Amino acid sequence: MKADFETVGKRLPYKETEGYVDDLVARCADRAIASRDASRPARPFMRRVGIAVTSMAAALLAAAVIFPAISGGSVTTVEAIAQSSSLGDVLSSMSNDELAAIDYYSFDDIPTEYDENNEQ
Amino acid sequence: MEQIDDEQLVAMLRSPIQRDRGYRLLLGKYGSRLYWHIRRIVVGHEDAEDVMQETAINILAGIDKFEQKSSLSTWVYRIATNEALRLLRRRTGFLQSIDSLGEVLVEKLEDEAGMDADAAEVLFQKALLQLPTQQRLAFNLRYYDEMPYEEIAKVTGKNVNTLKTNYHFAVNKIKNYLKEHSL
Repeated sequence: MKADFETVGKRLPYKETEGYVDDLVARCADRAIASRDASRPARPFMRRVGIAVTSMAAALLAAAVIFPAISGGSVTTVEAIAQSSSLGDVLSSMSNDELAAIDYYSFDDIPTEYDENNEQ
Repeated sequence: MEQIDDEQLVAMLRSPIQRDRGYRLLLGKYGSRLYWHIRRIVVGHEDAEDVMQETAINILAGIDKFEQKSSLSTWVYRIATNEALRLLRRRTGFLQSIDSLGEVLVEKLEDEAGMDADAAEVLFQKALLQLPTQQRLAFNLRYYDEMPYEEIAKVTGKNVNTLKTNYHFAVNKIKNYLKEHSL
């Protein structure tokens, strides 16, 4: 028996069946991913509820901002009122309902003195 | 298996959406080479499977820490080498060096190779298993994996001149062993 670098080359005495190594590698990858996923902490219930409530609130807010713009309605801003020529113009551009809402409370409704007996 | 260059692989591994696919492609590309590298270090079939599994887990866990200071192949080889050496260290007794495992590994080789194994191939591996671990590592990575010394230095953490010396000594020792033991 002659054993040297030329006769043996890079051959190894231990063999594996065809496809064994590829299958092993794929199995190792699957297990590594599964093990990582299993070790991730599940979100606690209250945190999931919090996320759901926050998401709904964000969706409602987005709808409130986007919907008037889609339906062609105008949004009156503080800047628009401040820049208008007069208060009369602003009031005349408002609907009856909007005017009624402004008129709903008068200064007379606001108590000027603290009444201890009427404390609720 | 789809072949893909390392730059694309790194981009996939950095993307949370493509990470798992990139990881599978990475193992598809280097997994077989890593397995045989591990097998040459630990010799045993089952040990090689265990180390391969640990290597796969550590690669996945370490993707975020991969800073591209070395190539992807160097990085995965380093993880595999460390895992294989860790297994050998677990096999040693208190204050025992892994260099002392030569005889244990030769016994394992004889069990694994079986009766119908090529005698010259077995003798060649026995010659390799007589080497100190650092020389064996340098020889394996240079001879079987055909790695440049600069890359081997990154895998093993040794400097290039030390590795060249290790390889030179390893080749001489293997030749002498084969001369002494060939019939």
